[in-house]
Amino acid sequence: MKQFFVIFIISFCSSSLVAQDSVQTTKSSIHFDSKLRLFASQNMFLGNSVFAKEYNSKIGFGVQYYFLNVYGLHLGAGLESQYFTAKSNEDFREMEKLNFLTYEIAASYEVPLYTKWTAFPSIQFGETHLTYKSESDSDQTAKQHGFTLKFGSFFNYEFNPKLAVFLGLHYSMYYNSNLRANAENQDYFGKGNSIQLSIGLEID
Amino acid sequence: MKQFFAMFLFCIAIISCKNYSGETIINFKAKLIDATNQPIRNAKLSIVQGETELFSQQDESFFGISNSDGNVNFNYFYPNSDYRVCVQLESESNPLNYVYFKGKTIDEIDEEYEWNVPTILVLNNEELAPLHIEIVQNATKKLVSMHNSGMYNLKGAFEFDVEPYNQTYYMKKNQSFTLSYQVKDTTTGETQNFTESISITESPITHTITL
Repeated sequence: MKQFFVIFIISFCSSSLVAQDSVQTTKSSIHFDSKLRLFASQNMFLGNSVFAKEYNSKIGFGVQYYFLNVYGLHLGAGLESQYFTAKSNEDFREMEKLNFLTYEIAASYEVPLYTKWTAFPSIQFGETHLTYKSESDSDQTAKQHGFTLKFGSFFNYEFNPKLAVFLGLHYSMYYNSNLRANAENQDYFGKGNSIQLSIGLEID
Repeated sequence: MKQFFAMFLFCIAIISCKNYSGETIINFKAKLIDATNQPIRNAKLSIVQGETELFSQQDESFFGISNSDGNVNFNYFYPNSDYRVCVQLESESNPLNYVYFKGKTIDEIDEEYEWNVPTILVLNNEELAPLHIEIVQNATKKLVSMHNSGMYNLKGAFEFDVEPYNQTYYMKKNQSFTLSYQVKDTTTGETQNFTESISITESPITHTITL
């Protein structure tokens, strides 16, 4: 997974550099560039996983801070939290609540679309901690952790040079390689692909 | 008084806290049959944490329901403390509303993280006779463990550990089995293994083990 991520980042950087050469040649190659994204999100899990079959997605929140611009590629880090509730309290007793908390690094590239619209194709990779809780009890009943790779794009509408609102559409892949389970359960409990929709503010 | 109250709250928190290793997931499979070898359907098997023999629905967590062939299959996160598998029968008229058997430790579960119980025999009260095991204690000897072989009781048609203290077990009538136990000499540290044959008849019996 890590190797895949490194290859993906290198490919992404290479394509970004080529694009940067053709579009912006006057900007400094590496400089600090502050962008803060605050957003609410919703994940829709797909396929045959415990997250898709047993849980409903509730609202999630995220923050990403991009602080470095390398040849037009914005680099930063972020934190995302996503909440889920069990579809049936009977079937998943004591595990009715599920929270995904992801610490991630992020890269995105700016692609102007129209006058006030800009796309930010992005990729994020992070460590994800899953916490299961019971409905009545605030104590954690179980924990898992894995990795999440996410790619997609933010679409900004700029109000002014310092403030924009955005919509995000990302495809997310969660993988837990630590599970001690049979092969079927390793896939069912340890993998989850989802589509994430987000809406938020970008402050430059 | 404050210390007592704090201790009380702490104990309550410990007792009420049920948690599981989310990274270890066991697949449980079993087949339930009755005394006439017929499958038992709609029985509920659930994971119950804690030592208590008393059953409360609040203590249940993961569970499965047996199908028309008596087969049940469900996954559970491995509990971080002792646990039991509880068998609840559908019929409320059945006097054996629920029975337990001890949950396997992670070392007893195979490498595939599957616990396959070929057959669980669930009996009615009329098909059972009480067996009371009486242990005559000795100051220098200690009963370390007891284990049965080929014994049928309401917990199921497979081997299980017997608690090393006086206890009454409800056993299938008209059967014989071998009880193995280990005694440790507390002064020398030596252990000795013993086996005894026990026959269950129609009436209650008491079996005495003298240490």
